[in-house]
Amino acid sequence: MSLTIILIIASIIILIILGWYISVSNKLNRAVVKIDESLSGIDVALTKRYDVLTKMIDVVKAYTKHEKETLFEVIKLRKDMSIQERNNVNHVMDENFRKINVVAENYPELKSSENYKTLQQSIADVEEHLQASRRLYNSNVSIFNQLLVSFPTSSIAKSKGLTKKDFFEADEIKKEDVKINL
Amino acid sequence: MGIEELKQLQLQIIRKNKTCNIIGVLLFIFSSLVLWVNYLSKYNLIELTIMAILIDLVFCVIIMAFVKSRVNGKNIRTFYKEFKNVFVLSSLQNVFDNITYYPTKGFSREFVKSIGMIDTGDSFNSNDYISGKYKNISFEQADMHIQEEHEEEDKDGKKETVWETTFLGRLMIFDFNKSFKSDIQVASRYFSAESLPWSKRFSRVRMEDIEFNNSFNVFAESEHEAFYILTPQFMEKIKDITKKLGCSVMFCFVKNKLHIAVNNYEDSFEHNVFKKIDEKKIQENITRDIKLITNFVDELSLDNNLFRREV
Repeated sequence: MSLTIILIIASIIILIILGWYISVSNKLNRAVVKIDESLSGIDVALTKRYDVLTKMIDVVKAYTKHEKETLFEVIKLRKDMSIQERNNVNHVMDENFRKINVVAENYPELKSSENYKTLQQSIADVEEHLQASRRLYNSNVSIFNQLLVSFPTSSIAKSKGLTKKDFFEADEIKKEDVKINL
Repeated sequence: MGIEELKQLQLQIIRKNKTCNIIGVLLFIFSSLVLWVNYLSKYNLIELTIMAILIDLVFCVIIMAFVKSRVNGKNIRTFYKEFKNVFVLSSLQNVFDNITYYPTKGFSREFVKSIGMIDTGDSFNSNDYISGKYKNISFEQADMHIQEEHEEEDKDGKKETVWETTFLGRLMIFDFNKSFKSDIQVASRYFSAESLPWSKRFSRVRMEDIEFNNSFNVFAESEHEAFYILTPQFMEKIKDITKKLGCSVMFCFVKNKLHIAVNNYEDSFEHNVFKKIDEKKIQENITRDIKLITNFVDELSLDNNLFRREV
């Protein structure tokens, strides 16, 4: 076999490997972009949930002002929070929402007020949006994590310094939020 | 018109039809005998005589079809119209509120095209338009028959036009209980990609439910909205209802309305004029046709108004 043929075959093999590397690398990049996009969806939903909960707390406080104040946990939303921090914020919101429901049980006039009912409907819708964002994010993370553990994609991911992403947890309290009796 | 009068009209139609058939057979026998005697005596060619009798048969059939349409056409039209007034309308009024029913009208091709969920083909027909409210949910529906024209070559290389039915069933439109901004389509995988204009416009969304992904194609402008509308519970309901129907079904979420196309190859709210009027059986069929509408509201919980309003 002449040197030229060997060089041609070697070039073709290198081109195939290069093409494959680029395509896998792009696939991983797209997966990362999709995760980032869905993460911003979670942030939007968390912010909406925060806004509605704040309004609900204001309404509850207006009804309970003559009694000792119910202690709602302070929520701080920041940009660039980690998934764990987002989970924590969400848990605090769950806790506040639970407290709101407990207070509302003791104040029938609060529970039957139009403002409160509207906010309850709103929180249910916001909750659905948060669930959608969470499921979309987790679905994207699942696809990405599967790519990271399957060979030979894993080797390219390693060379790019990509690591497994955390899931955004769902918990039972959040699921209960949508089961509001109006 | 009451049921008894409808039965009388049907008897009249059947009697006239029988008379036409007898006259037709006699006409054919008589003309065949004339041809047989004349051709055989003149040309003595049995093949030519048989050919002439076959042509005579075709002529007799055409003449009888024309005579039947002249004698019975008006009565048959009246029968179908009155059947729908007597049986269908009253059944619809028992189940739905604010009912509007047009037996001969349906959705226009332009309207179905504007939704963009399904290709309207080369031939488009729609009838049995119904609009009303069920459990306070507004809906409208109509039967739809869509056909594509094809040219096929036979063994001898001759081209012939063939009409292929791509959709025969119902299109139903319901008020949906969630607000959304972008369009989403969920189609059984039996629907070919060519019949789904959205497959070219939007990218396919893969849900987390593998069984759902294997049974349906989801096309959406926004992945988030697809996940928002298609909750795990809603996907289960879609799978259940489609399994029960046993045919291809398409769900489209457009402008805060749910559009459902059921390709069950059935023409609803119909009764053959020559079939005996069995009130119990007819009522069962109409109830089954009505249940197709109510089942979607009940099983998909479209009357759940938890998300209907937003702050």
